[in-house]
Amino acid sequence: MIQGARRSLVFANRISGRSNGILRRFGPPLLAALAASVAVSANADPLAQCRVLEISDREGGRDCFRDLLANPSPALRAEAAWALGDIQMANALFRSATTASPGDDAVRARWGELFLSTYQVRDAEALFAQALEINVDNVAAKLGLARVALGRFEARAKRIVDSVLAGDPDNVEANLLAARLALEVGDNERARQSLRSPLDAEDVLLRLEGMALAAAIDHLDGSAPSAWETRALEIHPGYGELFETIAHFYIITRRYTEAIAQLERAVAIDPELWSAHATLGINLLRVNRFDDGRRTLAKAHDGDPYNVEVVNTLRLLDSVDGWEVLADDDVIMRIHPDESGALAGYVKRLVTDAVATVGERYGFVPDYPVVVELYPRHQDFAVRTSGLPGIGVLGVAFGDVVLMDSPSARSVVEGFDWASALWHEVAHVVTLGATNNLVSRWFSEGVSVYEEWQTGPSRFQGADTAKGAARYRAVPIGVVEAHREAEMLTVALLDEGFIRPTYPGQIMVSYNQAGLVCEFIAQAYGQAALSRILVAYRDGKDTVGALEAALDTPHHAVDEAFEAYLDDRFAGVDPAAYEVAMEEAMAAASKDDWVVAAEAARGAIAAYPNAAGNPSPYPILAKAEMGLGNQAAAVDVLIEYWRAGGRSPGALARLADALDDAQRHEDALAVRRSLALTLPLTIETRTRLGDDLLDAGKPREALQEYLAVQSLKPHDAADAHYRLARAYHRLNESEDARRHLLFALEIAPRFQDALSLLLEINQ
Amino acid sequence: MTRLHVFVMFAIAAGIVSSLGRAAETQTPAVTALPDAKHHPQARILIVTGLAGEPDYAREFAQQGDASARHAEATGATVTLLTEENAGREGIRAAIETMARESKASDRIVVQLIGHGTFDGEHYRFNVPGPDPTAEDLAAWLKPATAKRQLAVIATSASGAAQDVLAQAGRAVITATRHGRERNASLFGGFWALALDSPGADVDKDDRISADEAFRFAERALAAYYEDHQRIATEHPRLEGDAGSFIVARTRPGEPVEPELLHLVGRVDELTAAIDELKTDRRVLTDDDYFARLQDLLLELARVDQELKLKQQDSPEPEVRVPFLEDDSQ
Repeated sequence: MIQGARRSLVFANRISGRSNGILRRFGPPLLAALAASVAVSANADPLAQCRVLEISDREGGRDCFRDLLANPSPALRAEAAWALGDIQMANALFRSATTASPGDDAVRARWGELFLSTYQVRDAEALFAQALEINVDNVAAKLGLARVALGRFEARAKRIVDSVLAGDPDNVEANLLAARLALEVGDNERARQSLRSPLDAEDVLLRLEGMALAAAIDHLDGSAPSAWETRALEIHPGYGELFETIAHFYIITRRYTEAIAQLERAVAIDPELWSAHATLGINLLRVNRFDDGRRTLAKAHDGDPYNVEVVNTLRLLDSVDGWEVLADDDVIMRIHPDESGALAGYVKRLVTDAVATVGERYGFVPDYPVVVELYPRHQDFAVRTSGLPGIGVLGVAFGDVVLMDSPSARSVVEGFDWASALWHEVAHVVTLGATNNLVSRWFSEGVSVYEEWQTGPSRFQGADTAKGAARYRAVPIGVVEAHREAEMLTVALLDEGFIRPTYPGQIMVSYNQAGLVCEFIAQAYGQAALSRILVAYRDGKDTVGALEAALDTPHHAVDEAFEAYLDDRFAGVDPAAYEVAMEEAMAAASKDDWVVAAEAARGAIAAYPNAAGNPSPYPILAKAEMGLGNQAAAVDVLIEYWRAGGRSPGALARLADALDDAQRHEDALAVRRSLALTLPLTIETRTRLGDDLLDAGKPREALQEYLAVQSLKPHDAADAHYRLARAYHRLNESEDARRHLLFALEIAPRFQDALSLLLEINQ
Repeated sequence: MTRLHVFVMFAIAAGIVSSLGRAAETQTPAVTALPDAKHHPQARILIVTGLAGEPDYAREFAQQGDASARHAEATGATVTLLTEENAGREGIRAAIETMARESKASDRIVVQLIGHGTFDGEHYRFNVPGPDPTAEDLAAWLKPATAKRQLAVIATSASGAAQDVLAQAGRAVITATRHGRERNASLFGGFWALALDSPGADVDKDDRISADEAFRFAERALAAYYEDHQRIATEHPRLEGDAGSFIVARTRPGEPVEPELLHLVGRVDELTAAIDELKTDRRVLTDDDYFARLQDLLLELARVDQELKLKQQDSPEPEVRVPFLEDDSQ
């Protein structure tokens, strides 16, 4: 069911049938010329006649549309209702039209456009598909499907557009879509070629859209302001969509400040362009201008109360009002109050360490604070990021603003390593800052992934190659397969793997490929080469130019050398054998058949060394060794797993206990640090780490752990206070120690350990 | 859906406290050579494990039943554990009626059911071999009991439907679910058993875990489980009434005390009572005043406690023992 009209993508305005809104704002000197141009087809088209009339006489035009509501054709009445903004009526009339003429593919395609304009995409998609079932050559329906795919970042958008252009190379609407698709992957030249026919289009609305895209190309090329802006505004001084289009491409290239400037221009010349208000509000939030963002979104909501992204974001902002904001010179944190006590210390340390470490490696240490927001509900993070729930990422960096799922939003069991994810996002802050946000998507992701592997909290800590261990961190096995099946993209095209994946899992492959490319460059050309690439991006070079300038190597040669590097890196990895061995190991382990489990797990490790993801053969092998009575061997296996980046909480807890049993308390402490970082909201892990730190003579650090525990409101509150008292006592902070002892004993007067400490303090 | 597809763990745990409880047939006495127990309040617990349906559940229920019985015995309660074919409707009826008949007003009685439960929109039923007893049956069988403190722990799916039926003055009712529509397999019983094994459940550090403490611990652990596993919580445990006086486990065995040290034990009780009284007066005191008085009391308590420990270490094995800090006078 159609729920209401709203606009958020620029190109949707033209297809919505609300062109009257655009035409009425044309500049008076050009009205006559424009009217003439539209009138070319108006003679035979009553809708066009109304639109022409509306140019010079808005109310007259609307009366004309109202008159059409009496037309016997339900399809025409639907178009009139749509033009008048009565979406519900338009919907009902399109339904009548299709009932009356079930074989009319054109009506179904238009009805689909109505749904698409109100962002009810599934209904739109169904109607386009129905139209194509009736007439496989219906271009409007094909392009409708292409728009649906475009909005979903699906690779088929390009295939559909290409197929339309194959039959009609000058199709204006298809060329406009082709230009957008090219711009999204940074192929400005291809976009420019696609705009040739739109810029000569007879239809002024299509021509204006072409001009907006041409202006966007100039901006992306660094040639702003664009002459196309002037030309478009000469035709239509109130054409806010011009700047909204330019802003869209700044946004997808992560230049939010520039986007905001364009959106402010858009709403200045068209104060009723609510989609621009909405986008402006969301992007003000992305640069941490909360008050301005909220105010702008409220205005957008007043103008278009049906915009789901705006409604979602405003609701989210209301819920975030009660959050803790902890700020200093380095970090500004917005964290849910239930989690801030346990997370703030870790977040602060991770961010400052990442900024210092990664910043130093790439020659750019931000001199501004990094903003970090952590969302306990993934859907809130999604709304904060895109206005809509349902995005598949764990974190995003908008320049210096990092948004992430908090550790409570996802399970470690499903592989969520929040500390590494935060490290990854802070690396983006560095690469975006170093290039004034001009870095390509793939390279920024590549550096972030590579830094996770090299310097992050779950980094690969090296292996004992003397024992035959592989020297590389394992990547997901699907990446090995993608390499062997030649599914990896060339570096020049790698952005497309992130934006419009063509096969399941390609985004994951692209992340890892990007990381591997950076790893390869660092090894073949030195770490400094990565910094040189950043400098080249900052200077405005595209990927090919940046690579060739920084590496002094043709990009094709880089691709070839990278292929050879992967052949070597993945030599000996046997995905099929790994999967068979893992299945056997898990089955045997479930039956406590430790001999078979151990052998199979060893086989899995041989087929895929350092595989520390979940599930991993290492914890199985360790359990098997324990089952066989080989405690020392089990410890060795788990250490190898931990050093490979493995973070299964159960395995790490077993390792720490075993290390304690072996009197290797320092090693146990290091493992427990990893465990607490992996599960920062778990009372047991934080308490145990605090105890270990206290035993190791680190009462200040222990105190932080105990404070974290207390903030989590443990069931055993007396015990939490008692531990705090112990830490304060060790720090000779007697009053705090006494205070917490009294709190503990107030809850549990017969708490003997606390009573003893109270006596000790008072002696 | 057949009833075997519904995970129901039905556990009524009625009053377990009895520091001076007499040894029952399944009980290992916590103390020896007790004073005459006839006139002392007793704690009696009936634990029933119902139909499991699947081997995994059977194993789980058996473990939970055994754990509950073992911990109850350690508190000095009289324990009856019904399992398998003994856990039919008639067996349960007979056991409850016996418990009701033998208990006195000062006793505590606990009924704990472990297994599967169902709710048909009208009646809650505990799944057992043969006909299933309803919540109304349980209420009727408990009716003759004169014990003024009763506890029912029903840790099963749909068990919330039994809340209103079992509610009465002096009876606390714990259920695994908020209402009868929470029909999925319940995990609450497992976390209840975990609480009994967890010293951290003993919030007030009196070496005993009350039903209230066990419930709070289990409720929290259950919520964390669903959150950690990214699963929608299909059960929301519910406690109605005062379960704080029912002791369901000990974190340490009760230690015997020399008769000549009983005055110190008495002083500990006095000081603890004084602290409780001070806490009730807190609102009329300034913070400084309150904590100063609290510290004075606690310091004296600490000194008495220390003296008691030292003297106990020096004492020979006492001929006559009474359990330390086993207070069932509430």
